[in-house]
Amino acid sequence: MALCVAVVSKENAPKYVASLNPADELQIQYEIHSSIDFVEEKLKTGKKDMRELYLGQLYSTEDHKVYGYVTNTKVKFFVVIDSSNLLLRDNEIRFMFRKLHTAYTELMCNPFYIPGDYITSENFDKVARGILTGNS
Amino acid sequence: MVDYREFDFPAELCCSPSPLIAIAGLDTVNNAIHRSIWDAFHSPVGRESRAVLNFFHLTSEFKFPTMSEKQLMPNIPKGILKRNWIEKHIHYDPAVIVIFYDCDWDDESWNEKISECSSRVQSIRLSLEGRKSRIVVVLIQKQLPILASDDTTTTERAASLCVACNLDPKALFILPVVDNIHGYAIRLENAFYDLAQNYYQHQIRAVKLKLENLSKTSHQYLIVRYEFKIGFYNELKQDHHNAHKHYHQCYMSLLEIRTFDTNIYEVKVVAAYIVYKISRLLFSMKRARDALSQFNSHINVFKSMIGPPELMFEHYAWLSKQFSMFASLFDETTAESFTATQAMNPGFFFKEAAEYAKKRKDSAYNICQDVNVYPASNPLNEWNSIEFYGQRPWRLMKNINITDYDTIEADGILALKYYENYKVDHSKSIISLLGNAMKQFKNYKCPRMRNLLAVQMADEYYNAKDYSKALTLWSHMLWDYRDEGWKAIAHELVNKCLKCAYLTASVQNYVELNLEALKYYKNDDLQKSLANIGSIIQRQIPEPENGLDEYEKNIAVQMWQKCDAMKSKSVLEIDMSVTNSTVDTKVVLKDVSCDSIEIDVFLKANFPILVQFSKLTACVTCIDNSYDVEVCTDSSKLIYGESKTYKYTCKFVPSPNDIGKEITVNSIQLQLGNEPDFPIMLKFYSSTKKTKSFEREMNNFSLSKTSDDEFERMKQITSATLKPRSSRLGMVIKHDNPALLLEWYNVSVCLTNLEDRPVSDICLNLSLNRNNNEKVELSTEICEDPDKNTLSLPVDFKIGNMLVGDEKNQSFFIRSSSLDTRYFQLMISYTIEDNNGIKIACVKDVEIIIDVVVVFDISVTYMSSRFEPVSKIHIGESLIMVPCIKCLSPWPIFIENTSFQLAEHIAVSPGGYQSVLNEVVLESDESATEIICVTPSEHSENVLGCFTVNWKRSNMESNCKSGYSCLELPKITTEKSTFLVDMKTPAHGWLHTPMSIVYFLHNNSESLLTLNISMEANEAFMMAGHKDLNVTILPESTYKLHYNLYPLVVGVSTLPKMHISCNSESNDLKNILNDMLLRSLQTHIYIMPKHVPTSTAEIFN
Repeated sequence: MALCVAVVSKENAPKYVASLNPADELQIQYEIHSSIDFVEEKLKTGKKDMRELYLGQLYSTEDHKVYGYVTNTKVKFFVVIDSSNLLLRDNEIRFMFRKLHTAYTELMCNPFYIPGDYITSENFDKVARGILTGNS
Repeated sequence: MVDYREFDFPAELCCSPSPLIAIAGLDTVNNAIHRSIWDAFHSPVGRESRAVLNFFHLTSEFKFPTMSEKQLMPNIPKGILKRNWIEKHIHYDPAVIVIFYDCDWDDESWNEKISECSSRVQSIRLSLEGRKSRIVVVLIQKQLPILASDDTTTTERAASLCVACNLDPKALFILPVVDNIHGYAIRLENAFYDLAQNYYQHQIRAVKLKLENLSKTSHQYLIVRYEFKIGFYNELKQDHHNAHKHYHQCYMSLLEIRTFDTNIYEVKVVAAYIVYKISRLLFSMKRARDALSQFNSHINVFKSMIGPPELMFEHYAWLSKQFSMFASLFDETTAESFTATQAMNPGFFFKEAAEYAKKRKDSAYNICQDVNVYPASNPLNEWNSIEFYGQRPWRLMKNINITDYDTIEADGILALKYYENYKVDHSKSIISLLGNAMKQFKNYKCPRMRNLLAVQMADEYYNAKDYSKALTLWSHMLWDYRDEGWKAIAHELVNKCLKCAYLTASVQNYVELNLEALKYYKNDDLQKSLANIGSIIQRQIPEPENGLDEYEKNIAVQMWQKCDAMKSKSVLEIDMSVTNSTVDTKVVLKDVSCDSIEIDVFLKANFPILVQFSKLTACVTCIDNSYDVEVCTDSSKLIYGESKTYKYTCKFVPSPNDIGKEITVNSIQLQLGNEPDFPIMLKFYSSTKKTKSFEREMNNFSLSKTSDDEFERMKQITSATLKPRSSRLGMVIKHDNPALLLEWYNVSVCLTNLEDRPVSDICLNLSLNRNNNEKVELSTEICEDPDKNTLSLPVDFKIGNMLVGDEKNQSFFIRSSSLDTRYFQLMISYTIEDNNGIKIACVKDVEIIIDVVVVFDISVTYMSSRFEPVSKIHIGESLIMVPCIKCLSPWPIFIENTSFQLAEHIAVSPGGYQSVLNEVVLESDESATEIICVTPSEHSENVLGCFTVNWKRSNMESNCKSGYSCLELPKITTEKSTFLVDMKTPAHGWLHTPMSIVYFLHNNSESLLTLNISMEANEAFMMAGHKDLNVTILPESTYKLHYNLYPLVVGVSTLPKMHISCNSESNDLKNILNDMLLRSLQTHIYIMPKHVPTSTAEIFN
């Protein structure tokens, strides 16, 4: 379903990147990186509703659409989907983010995970892979 | 071969049109008045509110464009938009023709003038050949029109002129040449503007008429053309709303045209032009959102209309142009109005344009790469003279033979391909579009988007074989991505940069990048990187990077062979602040003194295989001096392998000249390889801030405290001030804290030379330091001897030289007049010679803290002569002042003397004053009382005077000199009384022995006083004297009353009470009298038992 799922720390360093096909992962990383601009701008101008963490579509190219989500601790989640995929509605994307957020919260609760480290948790990976393949 | 230019937006389309006005009869070269009229039309004054007009000189040589032949029935045209039409209306087809003519109403040769003028009008009218351009005559007159007197002649003559010229009277204007030509010009402009509007409206009506006769099926081209014309006339009229409406209709009709391979290019070109006009109008009407949606639908419609596949590149060129056109329009028009946002700014369109330019390049590469010959028939020859926009030049070629139509078409396409292959610099256009996009994204605060575009730009530079530019761009981007921790991207960029560095044979960059690469590479690549660094040290050509073809490799090898740096330079210095490698250093200045400086260098290295360095040095700088300190030269201690932190310590002796200055560890240098080879010096600058290190957010939560972490946490200390040698003189400061307020407080400093050689130029410097508040300086006095002058702070006490073991004393006195604690800074400085006879300055600072306390608490009470406290005093009555001194000082205080400084009007009562406290010693918390009796002699201010105590500390060892306390006597109200009573009694009486009492009644007023005096007898006395008496007392005189009393009882007895009443009614006086009697008369007297002199003795005898 999604092409790529990424977690970016509050200092904008990637903490987790998983993509469906590794061949275009680099290009997607470039795109996610440039989408951070729009996230930063949205964070700076201040969201009206603090509870709304979903940022919507940030950036689109001919091939990809980048969606963003930012937690209250400024950790950013990105989901990249294929531009030609018209089946995915906003609600489904929101659902993906919610699942990611839950998985991330669980990861944070793990006392053996040090916040800020690269995410290597198998559980988190499983959730992310589930989002990529669309069978969760 | 011709200079063919591909699709573009022509200048006449891009300008914003305004009504064209032709000016005739103005000789701007020779006639100053004409010149000023011309200038007035072009002056920028008040431009915003003035009509926008386009003036041009209608000279006699000017030829109006030939009119197209009028056809009764609309025919089928060969194309959509004629290329010359827009330009014609912008530059050559005026809406209004203005004929200026010098002529006054009262001109002598009026008739000649009239005929000359009319002939001019006629000739111009002829040259118009039936055009509907409005003709206007402006008479330039030297006089102001006189309205009243000459009215009839004026109207007559005006009418005759109009008739002669066959002119509408409304088209005749008068322009008086006066001072305010500007105002007249504006009025004329408005008139011209109205006429132009009228003209264009007429044109529109004419076109609309023709439009109505057209049928949608057969005249699609004409419909488009006429709609366009209406739109353009409206634009000339400055009617943007209608212009947009008609352009839009025009665009819609264009979309209805069926397209074939033959006309698709023309349709696309015309569509582009119409969309340009629409976008431009929408932006200028501040409807950016509509412009965006219009443009998007335009692109959606035409994106798929590729046309002949062999001209695919042309389609992409067209698309790229669309985007770049729209982006520039967007940029121009939104620059002021801020309608663009970060999410929707011109940058995106430039980016899209660049993307299509890339596609164009790819398709051109695919389609055209084998086209190497320009067709002999020269099919592009007449591209510049085609009649319609967007048509193919070869189809216009004369002598077209129907049979070879296909050949010609093929030739044309071939020519375009050839042109695309050889004449178009794709990279350049891609780079410039990307550059524009970057500029936009920078403006709209998208630094990362800009980075992405920069990477793409570098890609294009690389493709264009401009490796050095690509290298610069990529390496800058590498830093940005690396600093934000995007390793995958950084890894890719390192690869790309290394290729460039190899291809340009840039040794410096090549080594830097290889060092950087160590961080990303694994296994084989990493070995190769290290090996390549090794070959550079050996001055050998490194192995080529992966993914280069043979041709590139060969060129690169040649460049490496020619590389000067490899041959001539002896050391290769690498600035490690720009690279982020697996080696890092930190430095801590550990011990900094004038004898030696100790530096700790920490080095963290991580190499998969053992790497041996040759030298570790530190470069320490002072302001104008620098030291190269060798930290470690033993290469056996400089072998590094897997991640570990190493520590090195070194010491060096600074030069005495640098004392007092700041020393800084400027850089740490780690050398790889040795001198005859080409050693690489890694320079770690300590001052430049290292790139953001990504500390883990909660480092302290980490379980293992590896040496890695320790290194990260270590704080560098890179600079320190080299302090002077510290003093070794013994210094004892003696003083008895706290000081007392206003005493001369003694501080003595005892110096002993404990150095092993004589010292000279000893100086003590005493100053108040910063802890004090501001007022302290004003309330502190200082002196060497209280009898001499006071000194001002800071004070220098020169002590001179001291031999070994000498002892010297310096004392000084401080007087404080406020209670703040004082912080003094006592600095001793001197010079001493070292073994080589060089003078070394030594200093030492000591802080002296002095608290100040109060000595006495003095309070004064006032009493009447009867020892009763009083609240006010009366002139002439005696007053007793009792100052009470309470000692608060922690030390016993010796009172030297006390004194009163009384005000002039206060006299000491008879009997004088003698201090009773002289030479009394008061211990802490003890009190002493002084007493004095005074009489205020006249009414004056309530000031009584001062009471002063001179004192000093009673223990003589403290050496503190005298102080004084001074108290201003508290104020008390003084009253003048008109009547005083006084009495004279003996100190005591004897039983059964008569005694006399005298009352004195003083009248102090200036009037006669009549009083009734009565004495109230009592049982204690028998009394002789007036019992009831009326007394009259003269002004300023005294009346005496004598009484003899015979005491009847022993002990304290009540005296007979005197009552005084006044004849006058005033109650006031009565009260005063009673008050005064109570206050000043004694009420009791002590009566002793009967005095029996000697008689008892006689009895016993």
